[in-house]
Amino acid sequence: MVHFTAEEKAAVVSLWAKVNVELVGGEVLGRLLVVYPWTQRFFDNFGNLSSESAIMGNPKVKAHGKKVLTSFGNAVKHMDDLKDTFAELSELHCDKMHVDPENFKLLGNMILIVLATHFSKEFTPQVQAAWQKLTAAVANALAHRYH
Amino acid sequence: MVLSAADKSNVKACWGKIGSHAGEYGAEALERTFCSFPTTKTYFPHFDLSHGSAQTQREPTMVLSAADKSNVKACWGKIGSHAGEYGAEALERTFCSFPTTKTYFPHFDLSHGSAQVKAHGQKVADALTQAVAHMDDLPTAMSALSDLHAYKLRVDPVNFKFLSHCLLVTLACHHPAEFTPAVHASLDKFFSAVSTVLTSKYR
Repeated sequence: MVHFTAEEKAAVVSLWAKVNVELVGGEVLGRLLVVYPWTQRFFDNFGNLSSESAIMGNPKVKAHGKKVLTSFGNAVKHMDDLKDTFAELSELHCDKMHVDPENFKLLGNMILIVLATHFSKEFTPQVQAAWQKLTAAVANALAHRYH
Repeated sequence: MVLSAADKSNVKACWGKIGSHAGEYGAEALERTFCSFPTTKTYFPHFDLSHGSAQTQREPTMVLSAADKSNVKACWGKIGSHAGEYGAEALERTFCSFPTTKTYFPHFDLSHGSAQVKAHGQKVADALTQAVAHMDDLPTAMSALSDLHAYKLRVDPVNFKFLSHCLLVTLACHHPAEFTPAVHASLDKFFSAVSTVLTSKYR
Protein backbone atom coordinates (compact mmCIF):
# COMPACT_ATOMS: atom_id res chain seq x y z
CA MET A 1 0.00 0.00 0.00
CA VAL A 2 1.29 3.44 -0.88
CA HIS A 3 1.85 5.75 2.05
CA PHE A 4 1.22 9.46 1.56
CA THR A 5 2.71 11.92 4.04
CA ALA A 6 0.54 14.65 5.53
CA GLU A 7 2.30 17.19 3.30
CA GLU A 8 1.64 15.13 0.17
CA LYS A 9 -2.04 14.74 1.03
CA ALA A 10 -2.32 18.47 1.71
CA ALA A 11 -0.65 19.31 -1.61
CA VAL A 12 -3.03 17.04 -3.51
CA VAL A 13 -6.23 18.04 -1.72
CA SER A 14 -5.62 21.79 -1.82
CA LEU A 15 -4.86 21.80 -5.57
CA TRP A 16 -7.80 19.49 -6.34
CA ALA A 17 -10.18 21.96 -4.67
CA LYS A 18 -9.32 24.47 -7.40
CA VAL A 19 -9.64 22.10 -10.35
CA ASN A 20 -12.49 22.62 -12.81
CA VAL A 21 -13.13 18.91 -13.37
CA GLU A 22 -15.20 19.37 -16.52
CA LEU A 23 -12.65 21.62 -18.22
CA VAL A 24 -9.52 19.81 -17.07
CA GLY A 25 -11.01 16.37 -17.74
CA GLY A 26 -11.68 17.24 -21.36
CA GLU A 27 -8.17 18.66 -21.79
CA VAL A 28 -6.54 15.63 -20.19
CA LEU A 29 -8.30 13.10 -22.39
CA GLY A 30 -7.91 15.32 -25.46
CA ARG A 31 -4.16 15.61 -24.97
CA LEU A 32 -3.88 11.85 -24.47
CA LEU A 33 -5.50 11.28 -27.87
CA VAL A 34 -3.37 13.96 -29.56
CA VAL A 35 0.01 13.18 -28.03
CA TYR A 36 -0.39 9.38 -28.08
CA PRO A 37 -2.65 8.80 -31.09
CA TRP A 38 -2.63 5.03 -30.65
CA THR A 39 -4.83 5.54 -27.59
CA GLN A 40 -7.62 6.47 -30.02
CA ARG A 41 -8.08 2.72 -30.49
CA PHE A 42 -10.52 2.71 -27.56
CA PHE A 43 -12.70 5.45 -28.96
CA ASP A 44 -13.75 4.39 -32.47
CA ASN A 45 -17.30 5.55 -31.79
CA PHE A 46 -16.33 9.06 -30.72
CA GLY A 47 -16.69 10.57 -34.20
CA ASN A 48 -14.17 13.04 -35.58
CA LEU A 49 -10.67 12.55 -34.10
CA SER A 50 -8.82 13.53 -37.26
CA SER A 51 -6.94 16.59 -36.02
CA GLU A 52 -5.86 18.37 -32.84
CA SER A 53 -8.76 20.83 -33.07
CA ALA A 54 -11.25 18.07 -33.88
CA ILE A 55 -10.12 16.09 -30.83
CA MET A 56 -9.96 19.01 -28.40
CA GLY A 57 -13.38 20.26 -29.55
CA ASN A 58 -15.05 16.86 -29.70
CA PRO A 59 -18.04 16.82 -27.29
CA LYS A 60 -17.70 13.07 -26.62
CA VAL A 61 -14.06 13.53 -25.68
CA LYS A 62 -14.99 16.34 -23.29
CA ALA A 63 -17.81 14.34 -21.73
CA HIS A 64 -15.71 11.23 -21.28
CA GLY A 65 -12.81 13.26 -19.97
CA LYS A 66 -15.10 14.73 -17.34
CA LYS A 67 -16.25 11.21 -16.38
CA VAL A 68 -12.67 9.94 -16.05
CA LEU A 69 -11.49 12.90 -14.00
CA THR A 70 -14.55 12.76 -11.75
CA SER A 71 -13.62 9.18 -11.01
CA PHE A 72 -10.09 10.34 -10.28
CA GLY A 73 -11.62 12.64 -7.68
CA ASN A 74 -12.45 9.48 -5.75
CA ALA A 75 -8.75 8.77 -5.53
CA VAL A 76 -8.18 12.13 -3.87
CA LYS A 77 -10.84 11.24 -1.27
CA HIS A 78 -9.40 7.76 -0.63
CA MET A 79 -5.66 8.13 -0.95
CA ASP A 80 -5.08 5.53 1.77
CA ASP A 81 -7.32 2.95 0.19
CA LEU A 82 -6.81 3.07 -3.56
CA LYS A 83 -6.77 -0.67 -4.28
CA ASP A 84 -10.23 -1.22 -2.81
CA THR A 85 -11.58 2.05 -4.20
CA PHE A 86 -10.67 1.03 -7.75
CA ALA A 87 -11.18 -2.76 -7.51
CA GLU A 88 -14.37 -2.80 -9.53
CA LEU A 89 -13.07 -0.34 -12.11
CA SER A 90 -9.95 -2.47 -12.43
CA GLU A 91 -11.97 -5.54 -13.33
CA LEU A 92 -14.05 -3.50 -15.72
CA HIS A 93 -10.98 -2.13 -17.55
CA CYS A 94 -9.59 -5.65 -17.83
CA ASP A 95 -12.63 -7.79 -18.62
CA LYS A 96 -14.89 -5.42 -20.50
CA MET A 97 -12.72 -2.64 -21.93
CA HIS A 98 -9.47 -4.59 -22.50
CA VAL A 99 -7.30 -1.57 -21.74
CA ASP A 100 -3.54 -2.09 -21.45
CA PRO A 101 -2.58 -0.64 -18.02
CA GLU A 102 0.27 1.20 -19.71
CA ASN A 103 -2.45 3.63 -20.76
CA PHE A 104 -3.15 4.52 -17.12
CA LYS A 105 0.43 5.76 -16.83
CA LEU A 106 0.07 7.81 -20.00
CA LEU A 107 -3.18 9.35 -18.72
CA GLY A 108 -1.55 10.06 -15.36
CA ASN A 109 1.19 12.02 -17.10
CA MET A 110 -1.41 14.00 -19.04
CA ILE A 111 -3.09 14.95 -15.74
CA LEU A 112 0.26 16.20 -14.48
CA ILE A 113 0.89 18.27 -17.57
CA VAL A 114 -2.55 19.85 -17.72
CA LEU A 115 -2.30 20.73 -14.02
CA ALA A 116 1.04 22.36 -14.85
CA THR A 117 -0.53 24.50 -17.58
CA HIS A 118 -3.29 25.62 -15.21
CA PHE A 119 -1.34 26.18 -12.02
CA SER A 120 2.09 27.27 -13.29
CA LYS A 121 4.22 28.60 -10.40
CA GLU A 122 1.91 26.96 -7.87
CA PHE A 123 2.76 23.59 -9.40
CA THR A 124 6.09 23.43 -7.60
CA PRO A 125 8.40 20.41 -7.79
CA GLN A 126 7.05 19.25 -4.42
CA VAL A 127 3.43 19.55 -5.52
CA GLN A 128 4.28 17.75 -8.76
CA ALA A 129 5.97 14.95 -6.81
CA ALA A 130 2.86 14.40 -4.67
CA TRP A 131 0.72 14.21 -7.80
CA GLN A 132 3.20 11.89 -9.56
CA LYS A 133 2.89 9.56 -6.59
CA LEU A 134 -0.90 9.70 -6.67
CA THR A 135 -1.25 9.09 -10.42
CA ALA A 136 1.24 6.21 -10.24
CA ALA A 137 -0.67 4.70 -7.31
CA VAL A 138 -4.00 5.03 -9.13
CA ALA A 139 -2.48 3.41 -12.22
CA ASN A 140 -1.30 0.50 -10.05
CA ALA A 141 -4.69 0.19 -8.35
CA LEU A 142 -6.45 0.09 -11.72
CA ALA A 143 -4.08 -2.63 -12.92
CA HIS A 144 -4.33 -4.62 -9.70
CA ARG A 145 -7.22 -6.92 -10.70
CA TYR A 146 -5.91 -7.77 -14.14
CA HIS A 147 -5.51 -11.42 -14.89
CA MET B 1 21.33 0.98 -30.07
CA VAL B 2 22.48 0.29 -33.65
CA LEU B 3 23.11 -3.23 -34.93
CA SER B 4 26.80 -3.90 -35.55
CA ALA B 5 28.06 -6.15 -38.34
CA ALA B 6 28.66 -8.84 -35.72
CA ASP B 7 25.11 -8.45 -34.41
CA LYS B 8 23.65 -8.86 -37.91
CA SER B 9 25.84 -11.92 -38.51
CA ASN B 10 24.77 -13.53 -35.20
CA VAL B 11 21.07 -12.87 -35.87
CA LYS B 12 21.21 -14.24 -39.44
CA ALA B 13 23.06 -17.39 -38.34
CA CYS B 14 20.67 -18.04 -35.46
CA TRP B 15 17.51 -17.35 -37.44
CA GLY B 16 18.85 -19.56 -40.25
CA LYS B 17 19.25 -22.49 -37.82
CA ILE B 18 15.63 -22.02 -36.64
CA GLY B 19 14.43 -22.68 -40.19
CA SER B 20 10.90 -24.01 -40.46
CA HIS B 21 10.41 -23.95 -36.67
CA ALA B 22 10.03 -20.14 -36.77
CA GLY B 23 6.23 -20.20 -36.78
CA GLU B 24 6.08 -22.69 -33.90
CA TYR B 25 8.51 -20.54 -31.88
CA GLY B 26 6.50 -17.40 -32.66
CA ALA B 27 3.35 -19.01 -31.24
CA GLU B 28 5.24 -20.28 -28.18
CA ALA B 29 6.68 -16.79 -27.56
CA LEU B 30 3.17 -15.33 -27.71
CA GLU B 31 1.89 -17.95 -25.25
CA ARG B 32 4.77 -17.14 -22.88
CA THR B 33 4.00 -13.43 -23.23
CA PHE B 34 0.30 -13.87 -22.38
CA CYS B 35 1.20 -16.11 -19.46
CA SER B 36 3.90 -13.99 -17.84
CA PHE B 37 2.41 -10.61 -18.71
CA PRO B 38 -1.43 -10.96 -18.56
CA THR B 39 -1.99 -7.31 -19.47
CA THR B 40 -0.89 -8.15 -23.03
CA LYS B 41 -4.07 -10.19 -23.43
CA THR B 42 -6.02 -6.92 -23.58
CA TYR B 43 -4.99 -6.66 -27.24
CA PHE B 44 -6.56 -10.02 -28.12
CA PRO B 45 -10.12 -9.99 -26.72
CA HIS B 46 -11.20 -11.55 -30.02
CA PHE B 47 -8.78 -14.49 -29.76
CA ASP B 48 -8.99 -17.92 -28.15
CA LEU B 49 -5.87 -17.73 -25.99
CA SER B 50 -5.92 -21.28 -24.65
CA HIS B 51 -2.86 -23.49 -25.21
CA GLY B 52 -2.66 -24.67 -28.81
CA SER B 53 -5.09 -22.03 -30.07
CA ALA B 54 -5.15 -21.86 -33.87
CA GLN B 55 -5.26 -18.06 -33.77
CA THR B 56 -1.98 -17.53 -31.90
CA GLN B 57 -0.30 -19.85 -34.32
CA ARG B 58 0.05 -16.76 -37.41
CA GLU B 59 8.70 0.96 -30.34
CA PRO B 60 7.02 2.65 -32.58
CA THR B 61 9.33 4.11 -35.15
CA MET B 62 8.37 7.68 -34.51
CA VAL B 63 9.92 10.10 -36.95
CA LEU B 64 9.81 13.89 -36.60
CA SER B 65 7.55 15.42 -39.25
CA ALA B 66 8.10 18.87 -40.78
CA ALA B 67 5.34 20.19 -38.49
CA ASP B 68 7.07 18.68 -35.44
CA LYS B 69 10.38 20.33 -36.33
CA SER B 70 8.65 23.64 -36.89
CA ASN B 71 6.81 23.41 -33.53
CA VAL B 72 9.99 22.50 -31.65
CA LYS B 73 12.01 25.30 -33.26
CA ALA B 74 9.32 27.88 -32.55
CA CYS B 75 8.87 26.81 -28.94
CA TRP B 76 12.58 26.58 -28.20
CA GLY B 77 13.07 29.98 -29.85
CA LYS B 78 10.52 31.57 -27.49
CA ILE B 79 12.30 30.06 -24.49
CA GLY B 80 15.43 31.93 -25.48
CA SER B 81 17.74 32.78 -22.60
CA HIS B 82 15.50 30.98 -20.06
CA ALA B 83 16.69 27.62 -21.38
CA GLY B 84 19.32 27.16 -18.65
CA GLU B 85 16.87 28.09 -15.91
CA TYR B 86 14.33 25.61 -17.28
CA GLY B 87 16.98 22.93 -17.58
CA ALA B 88 17.81 23.33 -13.90
CA GLU B 89 14.14 23.34 -12.93
CA ALA B 90 13.51 20.19 -14.96
CA LEU B 91 16.37 18.50 -13.14
CA GLU B 92 15.02 19.58 -9.75
CA ARG B 93 11.58 18.25 -10.68
CA THR B 94 13.15 14.97 -11.81
CA PHE B 95 15.06 14.51 -8.55
CA CYS B 96 11.92 15.37 -6.58
CA SER B 97 9.40 13.14 -8.40
CA PHE B 98 11.77 10.31 -9.27
CA PRO B 99 14.22 10.03 -6.37
CA THR B 100 16.01 7.07 -7.97
CA THR B 101 17.49 9.53 -10.46
CA LYS B 102 19.53 11.05 -7.65
CA THR B 103 21.71 7.94 -7.65
CA TYR B 104 23.52 9.40 -10.66
CA PHE B 105 24.51 12.52 -8.72
CA PRO B 106 26.00 11.41 -5.39
CA HIS B 107 28.65 14.07 -5.88
CA PHE B 108 26.15 16.93 -6.25
CA ASP B 109 24.50 19.20 -3.75
CA LEU B 110 20.88 18.61 -4.80
CA SER B 111 19.22 21.16 -2.52
CA HIS B 112 16.99 23.85 -4.03
CA GLY B 113 19.06 26.55 -5.74
CA SER B 114 22.20 24.43 -5.87
CA ALA B 115 24.89 25.97 -8.07
CA GLN B 116 25.81 22.52 -9.36
CA VAL B 117 22.23 21.80 -10.47
CA LYS B 118 22.04 25.27 -12.09
CA ALA B 119 25.24 24.60 -14.02
CA HIS B 120 24.12 21.14 -15.03
CA GLY B 121 20.74 22.48 -16.12
CA GLN B 122 22.53 24.94 -18.38
CA LYS B 123 24.59 22.08 -19.83
CA VAL B 124 21.46 20.05 -20.59
CA ALA B 125 19.74 23.11 -22.10
CA ASP B 126 22.75 23.92 -24.31
CA ALA B 127 22.81 20.34 -25.59
CA LEU B 128 19.11 20.52 -26.39
CA THR B 129 19.62 23.86 -28.18
CA GLN B 130 22.22 22.11 -30.34
CA ALA B 131 19.80 19.28 -30.98
CA VAL B 132 17.07 21.71 -32.03
CA ALA B 133 19.47 23.28 -34.53
CA HIS B 134 20.30 19.87 -36.02
CA MET B 135 17.03 17.98 -35.99
CA ASP B 136 17.69 16.67 -39.49
CA ASP B 137 20.70 14.73 -38.31
CA LEU B 138 20.58 14.12 -34.57
CA PRO B 139 22.91 11.09 -34.58
CA THR B 140 25.76 13.12 -36.09
CA ALA B 141 25.13 16.27 -34.05
CA MET B 142 24.93 14.33 -30.78
CA SER B 143 27.59 11.74 -31.49
CA ALA B 144 29.95 12.91 -28.74
CA LEU B 145 27.18 13.02 -26.13
CA SER B 146 26.00 9.64 -27.32
CA ASP B 147 29.49 8.21 -26.71
CA LEU B 148 29.64 9.85 -23.29
CA HIS B 149 26.34 8.34 -22.17
CA ALA B 150 27.15 4.90 -23.58
CA TYR B 151 30.70 4.43 -22.36
CA LYS B 152 31.11 6.72 -19.38
CA LEU B 153 27.82 7.80 -17.79
CA ARG B 154 25.74 4.70 -18.63
CA VAL B 155 22.52 6.23 -17.34
CA ASP B 156 19.79 3.59 -17.49
CA PRO B 157 17.48 4.36 -20.44
CA VAL B 158 14.39 4.63 -18.21
CA ASN B 159 15.72 7.87 -16.75
CA PHE B 160 15.57 9.72 -20.06
CA LYS B 161 11.79 9.30 -19.93
CA PHE B 162 11.68 10.86 -16.44
CA LEU B 163 13.75 13.90 -17.44
CA SER B 164 11.82 14.31 -20.71
CA HIS B 165 8.55 14.30 -18.78
CA CYS B 166 9.83 16.90 -16.31
CA LEU B 167 11.07 19.08 -19.18
CA LEU B 168 7.52 18.98 -20.57
CA VAL B 169 6.06 19.86 -17.14
CA THR B 170 8.51 22.77 -16.77
CA LEU B 171 7.62 24.15 -20.20
CA ALA B 172 3.91 23.67 -19.48
CA CYS B 173 4.28 25.66 -16.25
CA HIS B 174 6.14 28.58 -17.82
CA HIS B 175 4.48 28.76 -21.24
CA PRO B 176 0.94 27.38 -20.86
CA ALA B 177 -0.40 29.38 -23.80
CA GLU B 178 2.25 28.12 -26.24
CA PHE B 179 2.08 24.57 -24.89
CA THR B 180 -0.84 23.50 -27.06
CA PRO B 181 -1.55 19.78 -27.51
CA ALA B 182 0.14 19.81 -30.94
CA VAL B 183 3.28 21.51 -29.61
CA HIS B 184 3.23 19.16 -26.60
CA ALA B 185 3.11 16.17 -28.95
CA SER B 186 5.99 17.49 -31.08
CA LEU B 187 8.16 18.19 -28.04
CA ASP B 188 7.39 14.76 -26.61
CA LYS B 189 8.52 13.18 -29.89
CA PHE B 190 11.62 15.40 -30.01
CA PHE B 191 12.75 14.50 -26.49
CA SER B 192 12.07 10.87 -27.31
CA ALA B 193 14.21 11.12 -30.45
CA VAL B 194 17.05 12.76 -28.51
CA SER B 195 16.82 10.05 -25.82
CA THR B 196 17.00 7.35 -28.48
CA VAL B 197 20.18 8.87 -29.95
CA LEU B 198 21.76 9.21 -26.50
CA THR B 199 21.18 5.51 -25.79
CA SER B 200 21.96 4.32 -29.33
CA LYS B 201 25.46 3.04 -28.56
CA TYR B 202 24.61 1.31 -25.26
CA ARG B 203 25.04 -2.15 -26.72
